[in-house]
This record gives sequence, C-alpha cells and structure tokens, in this order.
Amino acid sequence: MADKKCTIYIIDVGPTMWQKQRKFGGTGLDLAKKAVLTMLEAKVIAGLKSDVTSLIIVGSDETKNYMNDESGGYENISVLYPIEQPKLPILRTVDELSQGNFHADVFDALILALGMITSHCRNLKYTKKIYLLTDGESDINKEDFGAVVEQINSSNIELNILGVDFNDEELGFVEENKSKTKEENEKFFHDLSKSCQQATVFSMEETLRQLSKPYIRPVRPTPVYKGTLTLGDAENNPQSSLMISIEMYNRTTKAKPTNTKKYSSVAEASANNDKKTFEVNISKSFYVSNLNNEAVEVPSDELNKAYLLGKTYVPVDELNEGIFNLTTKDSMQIICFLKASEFPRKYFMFNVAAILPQKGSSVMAQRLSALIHGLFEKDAYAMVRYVRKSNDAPKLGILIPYISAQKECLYFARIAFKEDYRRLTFPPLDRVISKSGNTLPNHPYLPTDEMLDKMGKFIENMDIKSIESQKGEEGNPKEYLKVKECFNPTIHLTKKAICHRALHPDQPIPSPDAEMIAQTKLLPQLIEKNKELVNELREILKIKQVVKEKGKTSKRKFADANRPTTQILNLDELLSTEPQENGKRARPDNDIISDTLSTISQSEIVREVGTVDPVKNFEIMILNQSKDMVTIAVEQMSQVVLHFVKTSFGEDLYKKAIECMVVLRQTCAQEDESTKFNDFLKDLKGLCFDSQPPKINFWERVIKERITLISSEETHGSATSTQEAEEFLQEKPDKRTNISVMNEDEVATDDLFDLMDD
Amino acid sequence: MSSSTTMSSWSSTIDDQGDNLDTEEDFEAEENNITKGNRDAVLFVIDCSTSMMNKDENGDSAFHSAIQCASSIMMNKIISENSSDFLGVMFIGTEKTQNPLDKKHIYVLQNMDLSDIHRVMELNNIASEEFDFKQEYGITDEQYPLGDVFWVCSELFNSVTSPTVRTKRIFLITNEDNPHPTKPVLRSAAITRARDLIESKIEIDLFSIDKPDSNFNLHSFYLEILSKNDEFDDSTHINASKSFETLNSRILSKESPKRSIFSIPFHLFEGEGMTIGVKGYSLVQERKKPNYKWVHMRGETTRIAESKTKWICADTTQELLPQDIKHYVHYGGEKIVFTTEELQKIKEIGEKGITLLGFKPETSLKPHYNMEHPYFLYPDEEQYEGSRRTFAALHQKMIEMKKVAICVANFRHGVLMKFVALKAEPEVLDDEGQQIHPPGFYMFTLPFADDLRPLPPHSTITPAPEIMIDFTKPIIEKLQIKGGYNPIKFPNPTLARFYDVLIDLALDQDIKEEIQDETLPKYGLIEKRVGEFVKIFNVEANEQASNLYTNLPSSPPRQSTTSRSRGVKSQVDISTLHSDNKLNKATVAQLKEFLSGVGIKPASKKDDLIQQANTYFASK
Repeated sequence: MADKKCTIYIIDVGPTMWQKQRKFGGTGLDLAKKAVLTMLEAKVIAGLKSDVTSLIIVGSDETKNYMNDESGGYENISVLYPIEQPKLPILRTVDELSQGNFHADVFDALILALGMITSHCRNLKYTKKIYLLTDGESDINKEDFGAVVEQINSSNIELNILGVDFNDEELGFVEENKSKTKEENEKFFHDLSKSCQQATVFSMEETLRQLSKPYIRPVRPTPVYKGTLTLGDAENNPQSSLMISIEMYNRTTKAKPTNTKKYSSVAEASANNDKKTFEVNISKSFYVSNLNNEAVEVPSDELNKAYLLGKTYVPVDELNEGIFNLTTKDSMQIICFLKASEFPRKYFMFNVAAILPQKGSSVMAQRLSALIHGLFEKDAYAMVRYVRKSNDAPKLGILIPYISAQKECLYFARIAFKEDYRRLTFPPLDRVISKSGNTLPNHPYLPTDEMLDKMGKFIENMDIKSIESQKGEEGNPKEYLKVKECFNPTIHLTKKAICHRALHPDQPIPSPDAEMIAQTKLLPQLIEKNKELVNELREILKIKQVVKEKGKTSKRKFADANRPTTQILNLDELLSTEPQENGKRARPDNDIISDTLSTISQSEIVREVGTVDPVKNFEIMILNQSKDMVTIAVEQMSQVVLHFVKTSFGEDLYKKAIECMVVLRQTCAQEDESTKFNDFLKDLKGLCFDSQPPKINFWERVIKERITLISSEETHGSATSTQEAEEFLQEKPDKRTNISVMNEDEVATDDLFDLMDD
Repeated sequence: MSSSTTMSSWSSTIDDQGDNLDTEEDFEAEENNITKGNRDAVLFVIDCSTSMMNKDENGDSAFHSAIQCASSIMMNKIISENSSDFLGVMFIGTEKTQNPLDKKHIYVLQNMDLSDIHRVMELNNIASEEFDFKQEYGITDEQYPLGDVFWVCSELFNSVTSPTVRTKRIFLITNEDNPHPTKPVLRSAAITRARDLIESKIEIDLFSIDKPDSNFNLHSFYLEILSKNDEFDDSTHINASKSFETLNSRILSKESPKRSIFSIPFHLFEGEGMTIGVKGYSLVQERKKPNYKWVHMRGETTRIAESKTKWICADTTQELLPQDIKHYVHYGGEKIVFTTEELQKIKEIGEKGITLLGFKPETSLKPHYNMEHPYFLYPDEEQYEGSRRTFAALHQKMIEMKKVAICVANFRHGVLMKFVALKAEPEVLDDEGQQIHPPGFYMFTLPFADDLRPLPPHSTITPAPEIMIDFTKPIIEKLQIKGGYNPIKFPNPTLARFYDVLIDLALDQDIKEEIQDETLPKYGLIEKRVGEFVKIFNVEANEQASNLYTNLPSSPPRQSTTSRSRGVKSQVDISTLHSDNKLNKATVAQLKEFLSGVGIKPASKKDDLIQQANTYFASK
C-alpha cells in the first residue's frame, strides 16, 4: 500500500518566460519544461495509480479553469490536465508546451491549485505538493496572502517555488538589472515561504542540479522475517534459553533494469491496423529421439517428471513431490559463536539483511542491543540456522554486530554449506618449489624486492579513500567511489532511453551519463600523479602479452600419443588431393612413440567422416598423429552437415547437424581452420534461405546455439570481427529474386533419393 | 549412448514471462554450463598388495580407506552438478585378471563411466567388514610390470571419447615406492608409459602411503614420472602417510578439477605493459536441487524429452524468428519499443576485463557490501607473461598494507558491469604443510547505490545497561567453536533429504523418515555449557524490562565511554568545542548533524556552519 500523493505543477508560460534568452540553458520556459518533465517522468516510470498529478499554465492565450467559470477573475490560466495518474500525453504536452502572450497572476494560479487539491484530496491521507515555476515578472495581487497561507498550512501542503533567475545565496547568484516587479515578487515569495510550514524557494539552477542526479525510488522497508532469535531449546527450557523478538529487513537487494517483453515486428508490418496487440506468445513442444536417433514430437501429457541420479532417471509422482521436502519450523536459532577473525568473508553468498528488534518493543530492543554490544566487544559473530517460514529450506547465516553513531543492528549474511564450497588448491605465490622439492629463491614467477617496494608505493599513491577534492570544491579530502555514489549505469540508461524514446520515437537511444562513465575509468588526477612510478614499474615488471602461436594449444601438438596410430594406410592417397601448405603444420618429429603400443584396433582407423557417427569419425581424424588429416576432416564434416540439412525430412536430422557443427566450429577455431569454417557457414546460410522450401528453421537453431563465424578475437587466422560474426548470424538475407522456383516434384524426388541413399 | 542423453540441453529454465535483459541469471546459467561443458574423468588405481591390506589399531587399512574414498567421491558426483563426470576403479596386484588388454594382476572393477548408485553400492560392499577380498580377487606377491598398469589406464581413458571431457586424472594410491628395483627394463618401460600418459594430458596424482618399516621415498622411482606438465605448478604428489583419515581428506581435496569461469585481462593502469591476465573461479557458489526433467516412459526405454520453444505472433499467428522480435516496456500507457541491438547497447558499458580504480583500507569493505558469491582470482601467464610476479607483488603488498582494490569488472560481453572489491587472501597451510586455503584474490561484488536499502528507523540505538552486555559475554565465550567456520561440517540438509529420498526411490526402498541435520543446534551441549549463564541474563533482562516500564524517565542511559563504538557524540563534542573556541576542529558532517539536531537548517559551507553554531550557543 503506497502512500497516496497529489502533485500540481504550475508553469508560467508568459512572454518573459520564453522571450528572454538566458546565458545558459535557453529560456526560462525551457528550464521549467525540463524540470517538470524530469519530475513527471519519474512518476510515469513508477506507474503508480496512487500518485496523481495535474498541470496548470499561467499566461496562456486561453482561459480554462473552473474558478473563472464560476466567478471570473482568473483569466489566462488553463488547467491542461485534471488531477489524474500521469501518462504519456501529459509528458508530450509539457514537451511541446505552447508559449503564452499574456502576463497573468501566478498567485491566482496558486489559489486555483489549492482549490483543486483540496477538493480532490478532501480529508483523505495524501502527500500534497504544489510546484510553481515562474520568473516572477508578472504582477501579483497580494490581497489574499493571509488566507492562502492559512489554507496551505491547514491542508498540510508542501509548496515549492522554482524561480527562474532568482537570487541564490548559496550559489552566490544575483541577477543584474533586475526589474522592480521581479524584485518585489521575489521578496513576496520568500515571505510566503517563511509563513508556510513547508514552503521553499529554489532557484531553477539548483532544482535542475538536484534533478540531474539519478533518482532512486525509495522503497518502504518490509520485513523479510518476523520471529524470534533463540539460543537453546526455547520450547522445553525457556528459562535457560535466549529469546529475542526480531524483524529482519534487506539491507542490500539487487535492483534490476526495467523488464522488457517481447514485441512482434511482424505484427508491426502487417496491414490490418485495428486491435493489434504486438504481443508474442510462447509455444513449447517436446521431442524424444527414436531408435534411429531422430527427434519425434510427443504430446506433453505423455511425459513424466524425473530426476537424474547418476545414470538413472528416477520418475517422480507429481502428487507425491512433498516427500522430498524437509519438515521445518520458521525460526532463527543460534548454533554457535565464532571469532570474527576466524570467519573469512569469502563464505558470504548473497545480499545482506539487517536484524532489528521487534518494532515498538523497547524490551526486545534492549535485549538485542545487549547481544549486539556483547558480540562487538568480544569481537565475535554468531552462526545461525534460519528458516524463513515453516517447511522452507533451512539456511546457514552469520550474524555480524554493526554499531554506528546512531544506529545498531546485526547484519545477517547467508553462508556456504558444504556443497556450496569447492576446495581447490593453487600453487603458492610467494615461493616456487622445484620438482625435486627445493624451494627456489629466484624465479620469474616471484617478485623481486624492488618490484614489491614499487608496488607498495603504487598502492599508497592510488589510494582513493581520502582523495583531494576535485577542482572547484573545497573542504576536507573525501572518499571517492563511495557505494552510495555509484549508480548502476544500466538501470539509469534504461530509464533514460525509455523516457527519450517515448517523446522522440525516431531518435537513437541516448548515451550513458558522462559522470557514470567517468566512474568506470581511472581518475585523471591519479593517472597524472602516478605516471612516473608506473613507468618505473613497467621497466621492472616487463609484462608481455602472449601472442598465441598458431596451433600452439591445439590438439595436434598434444595429439594423444596412446591412440593407436594407423600405420601405412594409403593415407597419402587421400591426402594427395589436398596439397599441404608448406610448413603450416609440421608433422610430429617422432611418430613412432607408439611402437610400444602396437595393438591396433581396426575400428579406430578412420579416414572419412561418415554419416552414422560423424562426430566420432571427425574427432579421430583430428587426433590422428601420424598424418595430418585436419583439413580433410573439416571439409568432409562440412559436407556432411550440408548433406544433413539438405536431406533432412522435416527437422529430423537438424539436431545431429547442430552437434556436428558445434564440434566442427570448436576444432576449426583451435586448429586454425577458421576460413574454412566461415566459408562453410556462409554456404550453409545460403542453403537455409535459398533452397526451396527454405530451411529457415535450421538457421534459427544455428542462432539459438550461437554458432557464429569464428572471429578474430578467438583465433588469429580469422579476418572476421566479433560484430561481423554477430551480424552475420542475425541478419536475414534479402529474398533472392534470381533463384528460380524449382519444380516441386523434382525437389521431392531429390529428397527421397537422398534419404534412401543413407 | 547414455552420455549424450544426459548432456542434451534442457530449456525448462526459460522464463516465459520475462525477457532477455536479465543477464545476471544468464551468467549464472552460463557458469553452470561451463561446469557441465568441462567434464572430468578420474580413474582410481588402488594397490591391493598385502601391506596395503594391513589393518591398524582401529581396524582400518590403506586399501579400505582408498575404496571408501572412491565410493564417497562417486557418491558426491551423483548428487552434484558433476554427475556427468566419468569415474573408474581399478585394482592392481590382484590374483585375478580382468582388463581389456589381459595384462596380469590388473583387475578393472568399474570401467570409465558415469557415476551410478549401483556402482557406489558395489564399492560399499567391498569396503564392508564382511567382504573377503582375498577370496574374491586374490592377492599376488608376484611382481607385475607397472608399465602395464599405465597401459591399461590409457586404454580405459581412450574409451572416453566425449569431447567435453577436459580433465583426465589417475588417482594412484600405493605404498610401493620402488616397483621394479632390480629390473631396469620394466622400470624404464613404466617410466615411458607414464610419460606417454602425461603427454596425452592425463594427469597422474600419486597418493603415497608409508610402509610400517620404511617411509615412502619419492626419489626411488616416482620423481621420474610426476609433474612433467609444468615443473612449478601444482604438486601431483600428495603424501597421505600420517593416517588414513588424512588419505581421505587429501583425496577429497583433489576431488574437484579446476574449472575457470573466465579468463580476462586485469588493467592495473592505463597504457601498455600494465595489464596482466587473471582467471576466475567459483570456489563458493550455491548448489541447488537439480531441476527435474521430462521423460517419455511409454515404450521400451525411458527417453528424455527435449523441449523446443517457438515464439508466435499473437496478431498474425505467424512463427517468429529471433530477428522478428523486438522488445517493449509499458510506459505511461503505451508500448515503448526497442530493438534487440539497442537493448544490447544499453547493457554493454565498458570493455571485457577488470580495471583497477584505486585502493581503500580493508575496513571500507563493510559487511553489508555484498551482493553475490565471490570469485577467486589467480594469475594467468597464458595471457600475459609476467602476470604471476606482478600479481604476487600486488598480493603480498595488499596483505601487508591491509588494502582492498576497488575495480570495475566486466566478465564478458553482454554481462552488466559492476564495481568489485578485491581482497588478497594469504595461503593457509595445515600442520603438515598441505594447503587449506589457496593464495589469491577474492573478488566481492559491491552493491550499487540502487541496491542499498536504508536501515529502518527503529534501528536507533537502544542502550542496554552495561551489566546486561557483560552477562552476554560468557555465553559468547563458552559457545565459541574453535578453528573458525569450516563448511565441510555443515552439509545442506535440504539436499541431503532430497538425495536420500531419490536414492530410496531408485532402489525401491522404504523412504526414510528423517535425515541427520547437522545444522540443528545441539540443545544438550548448549544447555550444559551456557544454560546457567543464559538464566542469569534472562533474570537481569526481566529486571531491566520492568524498569523500562515503571521508571522510564529515570532509567539512566549507559555511559558511552564504556563502549568502543560510540565515536560520535556530537552534542557533547560541539558544545565542548564551542566553549573551547575550537569549533573549526569539528567536521562538516558533525556540525551539520549537530545543527539539524537542534532544529537549524544547516548551511553548506563550513564557515557558515560554525557561524550558525555560534549563533545557536549565543542565543542560549
């Protein structure tokens, strides 16, 4: 249940607001529009029904308001939107706000707004706000001052007067050659703000500066757990058990960018214009492979749920799934205590919550406080078993005392169970032990004293905990990159893009805020400060990028020595069709490693990628150590895939083809055959889109599996960029007109023939 | 092949409602895929000589422990995300012979295959008291060529042709340090074959055990064949001599193969020559119950069903290709449309890699600055030569200077950038010099301002009387576990229950009522150790509580001086400073806090704040 809010914006559109060009930021009206748009956009994004607004303009050519209708005297004031939830139209209106040619009384507009807000909100609980944006250049009838002040105060309305070029003490701004009217009006507004309990006069610059900060909508804190923190068997031994009623609130929660939904561009292009939804529905179908390893669709009601246990599928009765669950009771129980120094933070797994005493209970607050301070003074943490609600899975957590100047709580962090923790060993960083067990004092892996010394200086110099303020601001050195000053650029850019696209559908999406981008880069002042030191570090550290040699990590070099090698198998005959590039692939010097392993199983001798088990054939060919069969294998594999796609009856062979492609791509990337693979993929794409009927479904699978062109980022041999690879995958080729439509009979026989061939 | 069915992709995790902006989950899914796409193959080679069978005073033998380890590792694979890993078990020194090459005294008990509950039970049976190994398999005193053992190993690994198997390891458990002391031909053949294995990327991990009369001497033979891959990398010889329990824990510590999640550049500064390579690992990551799968059980065999998702245009009922799909957001009553590329562009802020922005003291990394599990970083010489020494220098100095590095991280394209803190963790060894915690950086994901939630108002300090605090201390002391937190001692009861039931169902047994839940507090122990102290605390707390109700105003607040924490006491400080005429010593924050506390709207500049404070005191 969100608080109800009612906000009225009054914008002065009179002549001085738009005729006078200011030094910065255009006219006063431009600034006012920007300010109101920003405030409204935040409300539209939030999309709350309980947050309603209205828009009034003053100085308009027209007059449209109920007070004038009733009694007159409120000329050139127009209510453009009644009090309602703001939607896109109001934003468009503000964005294109028309200029007015009249000097009208903004105080009258304020009275009108008061009338509207009180009749809308009546005595209901609302947060009521009025924003008045004006340059104060029009005469004001100050007669009703007292009555207005009284109504503002009695209705508990917050009034914000945003003045264009008002004097600002804090910014030290004073407008030169101020008109007499404006001077008087500014004084009047300041008097008004002093008389009202919640009224403030801001300069427009200050307002816009405030509004330019990323806006985070405050979230009403809701407890994630309410219950008792216990130590001991509270049920049976209440006297010797600790029991504290607590509430737990999230302290950090992942904020996510606005969710998007799928939108059909096919509907966009289709002709009939009414009632289009543009929605995208999902349809799911299930397939199993039959004895011939072909995928066959099965109705979903013929399927059972099963869990995999090792190699075994264990079917599960859906009605009986509860048997898997552990019976638990909601609780937070202390298991034991730990020395803070003996609990490394690495076991934290998720976001962190704060444990507070039950709201309103000073008794519980006192008890919790005793525990917090006890833990703090003993430098200890508590370990707890936490069950959020009955029959939920128990979690392990650690409670950490936190005490600041005014606040205290226990932080709760979930920690790793045995299964969540993987123990791996890594070589030490501070010593190198040779094979024979000796510790080596010097080694390229170990830093020298000089390196350590300079690195220490570097760390000191790169401190950002206490950094001299950036130019222009005075005061003490302050911390840079505080968590509360680092906004999630994606979230804010998404919002910005939505607001921008809504008003300007034809423009490209805006770029991220420069300030946020700057945060992701090294501070220029640190670069300046450390230039020399870093040059010295470069000299001694001698870091070199490793240029991956062709095929260095490829299987060819490490070809499995134990694989039975084919002896003399007329491979030369096969290879003679594919002349070897000179020196491209040296044959291993020593192909007789395996003479000790003389058993040769005939089945392992493969010189062709067949269609029965192409992946296995292919792999064996790649691993062949006595002859380089990679190129041949790649070519044959490509042919096999094309064959599968071409001859697949429906989608039967698609899965197999994709499996082949995955292996093919991987091998080509490793073995410096990217060109061959990329050519193949282009052929394949041509086949998918140009054949009759097209095999677009297959290409869709290729997209789904993300089988892209091999990019230069993956292997040096490729001339394709990552972006090109991506575009190639997604792009739909133009319908080729030069393909003549084939005779349907002909196609059918072809397919049939191929199938029988297999 | 069964392996291909288990590996087939499963798309039930597709979120029908949501769209693809949610890349964090994608990344997590990807992490799991990396694990799944990098399968491990382990072959246990267990020496069955008479001395291996000798029982110690507890009735345990080295052989016995080894077989138990094999069983528990297999069980772990079954109940973990590693269920597609391969395992095999081979005995050497048996009377009976069973292996593909028909080499004598080598008995392949279990071929390289996926783990299975029935295989676990076979191992458990052999490990049981009643089992007579001598009777079943026999024990030979003949010398058999170790070279043959390696040969059979390679033969077994050759049967594993799956392209996704990335690590192949032999766990050799033996107490024979010199298999062929008098036969140089056999010795050199064994060395050649072992090297062949290593050459073909099969790692030999030796778990050595001392004989009662002599210690295992690595130099007699095994030094020749171990660690040929990288002379200075991880040790592949594990001395498990001390006890069988250590054998157990040593083998288990080798259980998970190393699988990195990402390998990216780490920019320490701008410009050339200050970028090193790092690899990232997930040492801590939540393991959930597995997802169920759909299977088709009509017909002779149970077959797994794969799902295919189609996107259909609601208006035209036409099937949509990926490029036909755009994305929209509801905004102000209308649909605001973006292309996939535009959304991609919004997501892609920054380059792949980690960029150092600066250092802060360790204390800046507050406990609540945590969003997800950490990543472990280790230098990667394969990207940049010199990474290791540079990383080591940074690592050592950061520990000495108690600093954390604040960085921006992009694991890969398409994943949202984040701010992270790198904390250097030193290597920790146990009494025998074996590593418990590896050296490296832990990378913690920091929250954005957007992720922070304020503490609710009732977190305001409620002072408890000193005596109440003091009464908590013996409770905290007496219930402290020694040696810190060890996750190994706390299995997840939910998973335990789940797999218990699943195993019972698979074996068609009655389902057990309950499981052993190690996370339940030990009430008896708690009562015994601290029951009395809690009673004292409770009595005092009740006393204080009645004071709170009856005597609220006069209840004296605890003096802040006793607590280390109450640093800022602005009211006291400011007025003292004022009377000492030292207001300029106060910080801007203190002044502001003080002023708002007495109902004055603070100005922005320090001089003005001092002026405001002076005015306030003058008026008093």
